[in-house]
Amino acid sequence: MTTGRIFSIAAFCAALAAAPVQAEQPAISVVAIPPMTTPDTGGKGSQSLGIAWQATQMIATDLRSTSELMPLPPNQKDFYSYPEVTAPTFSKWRSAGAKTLVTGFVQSRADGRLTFGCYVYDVDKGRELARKGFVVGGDDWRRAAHKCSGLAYTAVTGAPGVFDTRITYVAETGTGDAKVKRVAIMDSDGFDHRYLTSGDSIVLTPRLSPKGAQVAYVTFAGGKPAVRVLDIGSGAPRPLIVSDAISFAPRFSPDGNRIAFSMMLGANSDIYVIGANGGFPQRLTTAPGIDTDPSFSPDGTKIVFESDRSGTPQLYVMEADGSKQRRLTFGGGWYAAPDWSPDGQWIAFTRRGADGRRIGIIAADGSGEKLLTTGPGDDGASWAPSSRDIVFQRTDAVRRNQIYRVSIDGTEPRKIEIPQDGADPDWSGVMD
Amino acid sequence: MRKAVALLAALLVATSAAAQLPGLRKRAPQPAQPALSGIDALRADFLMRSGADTVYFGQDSALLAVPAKATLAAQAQWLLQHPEIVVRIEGQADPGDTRDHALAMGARRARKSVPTWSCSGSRRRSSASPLGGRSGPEWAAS
Repeated sequence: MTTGRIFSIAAFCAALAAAPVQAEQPAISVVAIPPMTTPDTGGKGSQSLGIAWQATQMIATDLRSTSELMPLPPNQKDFYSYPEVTAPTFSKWRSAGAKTLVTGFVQSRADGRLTFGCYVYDVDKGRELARKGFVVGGDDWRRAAHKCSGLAYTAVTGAPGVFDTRITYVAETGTGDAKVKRVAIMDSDGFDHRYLTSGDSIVLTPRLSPKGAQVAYVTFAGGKPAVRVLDIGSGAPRPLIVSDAISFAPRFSPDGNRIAFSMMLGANSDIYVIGANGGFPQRLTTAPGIDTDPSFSPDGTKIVFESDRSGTPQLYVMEADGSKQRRLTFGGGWYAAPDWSPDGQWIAFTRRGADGRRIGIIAADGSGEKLLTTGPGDDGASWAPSSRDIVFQRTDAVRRNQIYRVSIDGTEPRKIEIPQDGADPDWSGVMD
Repeated sequence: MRKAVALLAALLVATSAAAQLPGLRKRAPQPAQPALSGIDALRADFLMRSGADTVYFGQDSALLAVPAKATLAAQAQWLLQHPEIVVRIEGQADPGDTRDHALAMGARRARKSVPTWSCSGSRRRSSASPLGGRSGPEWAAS
């Protein structure tokens, strides 16, 4: 059951939200996050303070996971009163070296829910950058904390935060023929880890819908690979197409209304698009080779895909109706598994060469290719909604898979902790 | 690399991929007693008479070379004589291939290996499906 999912977050002071301010320089920004406070008193007060402290620590953990923000460790002795939420002592944080300050409060409501208030300040200038409030169910304070983290991240960097997002992947146990594969999903910080399929058949390449409510994946349950779409709330899967043709490589359109995928008729693999709720598949490619791995541009008007029509797998771009197909990559080697960044600027890919498989990015116009990982067993790049991080799978020498995260600024990839081995990660957009 | 070769030799060519027949099993209910009894004996006979249970493709290719076609023809002959046997054709891709390209390539290779049966007169129904991306067998036909 999805207890953590039945909630509502209401932005209660949207009118007060300040416009995000673009960072002046890309250097790491030090953020002070003193413990959030509460206007509540008595028993409720101590309960709210407990949640506020946990939320504060979670915000610090969230921001620490980014490459742009460096949070000072929250310290309970920095406690401030409720009125100080909107009137912080900037000089204190200036001397602590902080450029940004996050304050906030937790207030319990008569209906049992919680109100979260989050405020982000520029410490040097002593002015507010952003504020936002959220009303959440009593058990959903973690989501509100993630929203606060996102508010701070966006205020500093101008990019969407990735904290209130999900990652789906294929959890793998066992080895070789005895390998059990299940579609798993978790919050991007690793919490609320669940399995969506039972493991009685092979599954591959789960892809989340933009808001993370559905997942399209490939299953071998019917003896041959076929795309299914699973509603995460109800847990009910359905086939994407009614035909018994082989289908794979699904990806949602940015508005969530369409799914592009590969289908094989005979020995020929082509790209099709179909309504996310069903319909008749529309064929987009006709080349005799293998056309696969479609990925929409964020405005939904274009699709990048992989084709070996030139003799080796390369990336191509076409309009979303299949017209104007043109080759994007000419760098030598093989290019595969493209994923278009949510900000539209980049296309991540797997490049296969003499040194193995590596993850790289290339500008959407085909310029500025840059390899981000050293391989040799990397594959399946998927963008974070910030367009600054990429999650991918790394296969080691004994063919075990793990999930890694790398920033496009070229820092060393970091392993994402999951309960078992994992493959085919996919990062959702920011949830509502 | 570009040749389809017999199983033992092919094992030395680690990176090339295959369409193979790993799982022979009896079709139920059992028809008249075959001359050979036991699936292991049948498998051994199949291997001996057709030369291989695996054909190899060149890197990133689904083209059948002449020796591969000969192997498939010999396998088809044997299967015609053993209609009680159900076979499964699995297409595999190169270990270094990317996920979905491997899936499609495995499917192509298995598919390319199927028509040989029907061209040889077998009326056995054929179907095909890939298995497990590059980490496992990829295509089956039975």
